[in-house]
Amino acid sequence: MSADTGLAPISPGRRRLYVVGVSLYLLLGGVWLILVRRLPARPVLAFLGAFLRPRWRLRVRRVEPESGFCYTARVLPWIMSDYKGASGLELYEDGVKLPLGHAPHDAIRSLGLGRYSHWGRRIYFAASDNSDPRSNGRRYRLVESRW
Amino acid sequence: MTEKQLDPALAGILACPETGAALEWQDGYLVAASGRRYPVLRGIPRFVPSDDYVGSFSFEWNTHNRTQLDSFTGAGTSAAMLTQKTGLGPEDVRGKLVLDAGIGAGRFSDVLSGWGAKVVGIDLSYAVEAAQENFRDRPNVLVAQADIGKLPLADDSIDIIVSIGVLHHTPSTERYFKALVPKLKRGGRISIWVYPDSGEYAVRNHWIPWTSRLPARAFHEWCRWIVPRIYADPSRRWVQLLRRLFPFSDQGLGLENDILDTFDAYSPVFHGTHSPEEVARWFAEAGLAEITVLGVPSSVTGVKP
Repeated sequence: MSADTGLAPISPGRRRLYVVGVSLYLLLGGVWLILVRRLPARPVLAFLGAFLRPRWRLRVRRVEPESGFCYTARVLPWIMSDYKGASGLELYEDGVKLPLGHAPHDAIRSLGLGRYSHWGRRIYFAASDNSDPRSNGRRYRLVESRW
Repeated sequence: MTEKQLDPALAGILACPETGAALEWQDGYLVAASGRRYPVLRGIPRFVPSDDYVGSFSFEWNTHNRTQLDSFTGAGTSAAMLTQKTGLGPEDVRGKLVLDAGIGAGRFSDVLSGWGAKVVGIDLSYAVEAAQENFRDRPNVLVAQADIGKLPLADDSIDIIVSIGVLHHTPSTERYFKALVPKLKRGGRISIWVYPDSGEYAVRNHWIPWTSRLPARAFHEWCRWIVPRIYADPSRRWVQLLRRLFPFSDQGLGLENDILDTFDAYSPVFHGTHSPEEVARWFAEAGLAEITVLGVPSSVTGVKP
């Protein structure tokens, strides 16, 4: 009987070998799982497709109150959201990127402070200071990030 | 003899897994009247010759031997999780004989013994080495290495059985669950949590045939490399995509816990997923009463009538 008790140190070269080797192995596994339809292809295609076309840049208009600190506005329906994949939209307030994207909607409502989420055909968001974005005089824009 | 002084209720609890006969401590062995002998190495009774199919857990729990222990972190998260997934609190277990089926490094035995239970912790893996070290000063915890499908315990000997996040890593979640029930006394309670068949658990099911083949050390180094990058900026688009295709642990308990839990999620050979209804059906088929499906899917508790 023997037991593996703790980790012996390994060289940076071996660590790099492990990381590259496992990454390539998992990449291969991921491609296979997508080909056999165990994993969804659409989010991957949307991610890769973003590199082949101009980035989305949208103004946030017709803002409506949702609940708590949360407000909502429509987004073009064909832009991939977190509902079906991974949204690449980032929300800017007067040119400053808000830091907390992909936030849970409950957190947007109860905590606010610049949290936002692109979900389905809408953007759910709170102003950075929880003020009313319909009357605070700031401009909100959505810009697509490729990475 | 054992190397630590055990609570009298625990000292004689182990039985021959083949016959259920009582065992006696004799010169580094546990010996049955039939002559069967089981070695006691480093104070741990051994009922299996190796860690069989759970080598990843031997690696994992000897590497992260205290990462999730409340007594080490001071966080209280394991106590909260134990209550959420079993419905048990300190008053339910105080003074009771509790079996922790799949003790690992002792995350939940740490809580149970702290609440005053007398705990028998069983694990097939060499995680028992870490558990024994963690509980060397606790007379109310007995650690043994055995197969939870073939327990070294007499029937009708245990007050409470808990098994959290373990049974789905056996060759048959249902069969191994049903092997636990006879060990319970009448009126005793069994509470288990297994992976639900939805969300990230269902996605990971697809990966297991690939990831379980990876050498444990190499995969662990990869987890240690990728997880901090994921959490450095979780809003990045590539992170969102990766998390959808390869869900990472995100328990909010710190980076080290998420490295451990990501490794834990993908490295085992067996990864069963089960709906709460399916688990409740096993409880009914095992003749249990007062079956309750708890809030965390798929955690179920029941009582032996």
